[in-house]
Amino acid sequence: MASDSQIVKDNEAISKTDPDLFVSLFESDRNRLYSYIYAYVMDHTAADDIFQETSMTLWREFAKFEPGTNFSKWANGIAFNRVRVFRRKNKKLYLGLSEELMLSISESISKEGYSETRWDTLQECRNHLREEDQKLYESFYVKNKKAQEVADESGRSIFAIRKAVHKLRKKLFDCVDRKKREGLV
Amino acid sequence: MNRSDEFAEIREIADCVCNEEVSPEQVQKLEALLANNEEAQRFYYEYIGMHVHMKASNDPQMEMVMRRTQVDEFIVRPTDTSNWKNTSSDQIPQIAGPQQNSSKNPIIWILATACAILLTYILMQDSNEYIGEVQAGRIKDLERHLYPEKVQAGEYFTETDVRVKFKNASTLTLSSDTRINITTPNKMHLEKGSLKFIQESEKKLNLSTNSYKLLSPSKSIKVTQSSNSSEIIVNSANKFIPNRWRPKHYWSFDDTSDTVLDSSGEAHGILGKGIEKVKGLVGSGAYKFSDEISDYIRLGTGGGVAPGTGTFAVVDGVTIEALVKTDWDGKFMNSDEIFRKDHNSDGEGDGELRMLFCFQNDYDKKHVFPKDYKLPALSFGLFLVGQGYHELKLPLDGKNGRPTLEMLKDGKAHHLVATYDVKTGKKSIYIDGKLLMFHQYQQGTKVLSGGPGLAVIGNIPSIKNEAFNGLIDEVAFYDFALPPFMIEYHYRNTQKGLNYFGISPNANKLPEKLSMKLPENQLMILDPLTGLPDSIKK
Repeated sequence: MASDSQIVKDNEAISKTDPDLFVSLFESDRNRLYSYIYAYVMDHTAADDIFQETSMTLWREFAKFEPGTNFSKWANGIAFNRVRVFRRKNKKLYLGLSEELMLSISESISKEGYSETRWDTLQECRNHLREEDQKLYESFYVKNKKAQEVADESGRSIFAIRKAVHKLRKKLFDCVDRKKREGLV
Repeated sequence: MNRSDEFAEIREIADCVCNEEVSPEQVQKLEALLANNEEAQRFYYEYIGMHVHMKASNDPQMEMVMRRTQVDEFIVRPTDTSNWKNTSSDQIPQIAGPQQNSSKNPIIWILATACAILLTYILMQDSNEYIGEVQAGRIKDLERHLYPEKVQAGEYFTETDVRVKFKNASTLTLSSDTRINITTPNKMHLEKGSLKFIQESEKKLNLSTNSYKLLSPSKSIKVTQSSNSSEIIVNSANKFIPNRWRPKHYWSFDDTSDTVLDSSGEAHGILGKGIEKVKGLVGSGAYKFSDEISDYIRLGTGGGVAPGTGTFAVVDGVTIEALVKTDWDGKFMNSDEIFRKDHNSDGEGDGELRMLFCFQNDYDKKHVFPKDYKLPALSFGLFLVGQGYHELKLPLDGKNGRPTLEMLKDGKAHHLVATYDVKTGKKSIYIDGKLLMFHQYQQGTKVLSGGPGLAVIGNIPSIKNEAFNGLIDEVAFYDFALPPFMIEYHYRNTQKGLNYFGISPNANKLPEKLSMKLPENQLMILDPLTGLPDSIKK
């Protein structure tokens, strides 16, 4: 538990925080941070709430962050705690990975290092998709349509649509992985 | 082989996670597949990351807004809704974010409306958890790192004076620098600081600090708590439960066994040959001592093997308490021992690490207060670190409210108490609930006590001229100093025929918890160490 003098010190430090630095670090990391939360809780509504809480805590605690150190790792620690708090308070959220596994994943990804730049090649990979897959991508990831909507429009079954989306993800993931192996990422 | 093929099973489940269609069974399977497999864990994380990235890259542009009002806020929100622009943007400094675009895409409006509905729903859900609202001041939610306007169960710290109005209309006023854990409007734990509680419900307030608990339906309660001071004022009936009140050892002499039962510890006594069980000064039993060498009760060593060890070793202070009817003659070089504990195990005493409470008439001691006092006195000796063995004498001279020996020999029981408080360095002697003599040592002066020597009541087995003459009852040994209010409270209880603790005399073990009632509408000073009432502030 923080001492009173520590709390006062923190409050003073917050008033000296550099907002521009925070915004630049946060902006480049927020998709990754959201993925990190979503991978655990598997629910967008919960992930949205936790992400908002995490963002606020990151800002409030930013005075404690040492510029030059790993922002993602620091943010992961805070997000991890917010997930735990959220779960304790929301017993209805029964799905999601265990805390033990969450910790294990955190360690695994921090060993290897993870960069959002790996997704810079996604657009290029997308350009190489067949026309049918391009349309599917458009429906799902641009127009945000549900599988049922796409099925209704195309006359295909919802199972066929889901299967096609899974294949689409696989193709894109393999493409990014391949480009990484080729040193293009 | 591609990683997506290598981890095909994980990918299938990850697809369901992306679709928000995952089942508990799949989550269970995923746990098993990811366990102890770093490569698999990285794959899962990156696969989800790709999905989130593709979704996010087509989400509405987001901006970040920092607002510094009463609290700092960090908000992530869509930038391209004119709705945001209209909310007095001149008062909301935008510190960063992509350029706003002016498109009037109806999808964005729908999204914004959906967000608003969702937010309203979340707020409505959350509002059910609120138990009160902050009416004045700045309070920090220590768990959530927020400065909320509404209060829910949790731990809080005040940076200013704060007033909270609970849903049940009760009001809690906190001074600045207060740390408190609020569970409900009627249950809270004050870590430090000050509070004033105005009760508007019919329920009892359940208030605790680190040194006591209070249950009271009182309409108004004021409390201050820190490591150095503690005060409370209650305006009606109450149940007050101090954390530390129990003696380390307590011999009521009301048991009927062959040994002398210790009702609080394990130092059961063995009777010397000469003493006789008689009707108690309180309760059924007491012991009559006849000034003979064999008139003693051996209490053992308390398990001590070296200074500072055993149950007679004390850290925070000491209290020795007894009810006594004395027949001491008061002659020169004669003593009547009530309680004694030596360091040495040879039964002779070592004159050094001694603890002694007795009637005494001697002279020529180096470490006596008052100096050079030679007449009959009640004496309390302790070995103090840096001081050595010191005796405090309460002269039985009839001056300044002190009794004469003859007054003590009036055939009635008298309540005799000796205390030493390490924190204050104050050594005191009380008779019948009144402080009649004290000496002030340097604050924090410790006691060297415990060890392998015998503890006794009435006499040390080998010394003839220190044997007690009279009746002794209700002997108690505490490892802290009883405060003045409690000593008077104990005395008053004995006058009602009760034991010190307000319980009908019995031979049972003392309870673990003791409740008592604080005086109403009086500012009570409490001992911060024990939580025991110390005195009434005039």
